[in-house]
Amino acid sequence: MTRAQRGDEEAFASLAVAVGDRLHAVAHRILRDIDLAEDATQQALLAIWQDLPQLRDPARFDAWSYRLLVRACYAEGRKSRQWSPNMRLLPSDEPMQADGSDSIVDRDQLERGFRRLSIDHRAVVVLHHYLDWPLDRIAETLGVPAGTVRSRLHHAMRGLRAALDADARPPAREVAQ
Amino acid sequence: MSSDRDTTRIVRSWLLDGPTELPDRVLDAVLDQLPSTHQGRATWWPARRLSHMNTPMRFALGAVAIVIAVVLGINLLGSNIGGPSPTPTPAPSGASEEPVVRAWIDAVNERDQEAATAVMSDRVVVSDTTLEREEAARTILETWCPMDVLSVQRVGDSYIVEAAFVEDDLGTCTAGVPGTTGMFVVEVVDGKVSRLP
Repeated sequence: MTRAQRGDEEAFASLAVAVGDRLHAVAHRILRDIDLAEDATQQALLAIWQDLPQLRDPARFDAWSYRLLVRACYAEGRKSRQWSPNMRLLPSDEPMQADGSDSIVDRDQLERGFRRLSIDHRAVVVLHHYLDWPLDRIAETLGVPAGTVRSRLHHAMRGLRAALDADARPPAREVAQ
Repeated sequence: MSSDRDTTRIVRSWLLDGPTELPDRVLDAVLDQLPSTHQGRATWWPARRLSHMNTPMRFALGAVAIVIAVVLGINLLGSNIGGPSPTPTPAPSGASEEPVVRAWIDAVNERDQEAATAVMSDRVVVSDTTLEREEAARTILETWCPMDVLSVQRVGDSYIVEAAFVEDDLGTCTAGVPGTTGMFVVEVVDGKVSRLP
């Protein structure tokens, strides 16, 4: 890392190979779009290259790189909002599986529910439930108080739960009968 | 209705789906852009916030605080004892070494190891490890932010440097991030900045 900090492109290439996969995996889970995720990862890696000389403590590289990635996701997310259709949650006829296991419908509903969340909320969900990070680490990475992270996670999970429950409700016509 | 536990389990399972590898073409595109993407300038030295500081800087600032307290205490006592406040004694004309101090600060901001070594003891404790001064200077320069000098004030044979330090909450040196303001003392001996008094 020290060599990369001093402008060694070969050293940075090794670093990019080492971190590229996990950054991309997180970007995709936040943005839910393969093209946007690739763009965000590319922007994050370039930002890492640019700002690496200013990172004083290599032990904090991980948190720092994810912060840059989330910033890149914000930027890509803003772009996507300019053209993405306004999505609305619709009830489906396929019921939730009786054993509670996640069905295709769950995933579809989660996808819709997740896309309605802001990038702030998505990032917290992904860092906590995908990377298994504790809330204080997420707070440090995102540069926000731990209480804010807790609140975002609560709000996001409530939204996702509502999305799943909306699917579990019987269609309106069944109720009428 | 889903329980919280169900929701968490389903969300976690759902998040496992998706790509886990960055396509080579994206990596190649990044590496292709490196030559035309300039790295930011390393802006190191000195102070992190006290809670983040490692041992030598804590010692240094601790010593500085004591020196400043002594200087201020003497001045205060001087003003209370013996009648009228003494007029600050101006430095002898032509004797100001302030440019030397400022040049030294510039050198340290540029991570000049010789400049950093000049103010260090023979052995310095860095992160609980005792290092020779050269190695200690190198280690410290690798982790510290720059300072923007606010003032350099001569007090006797020493110079009190007041500086603003920049860093964000990840300990990254980020220009424009409001930082802490601190002071430290250096001496100039034979036209060179010498170790902390």
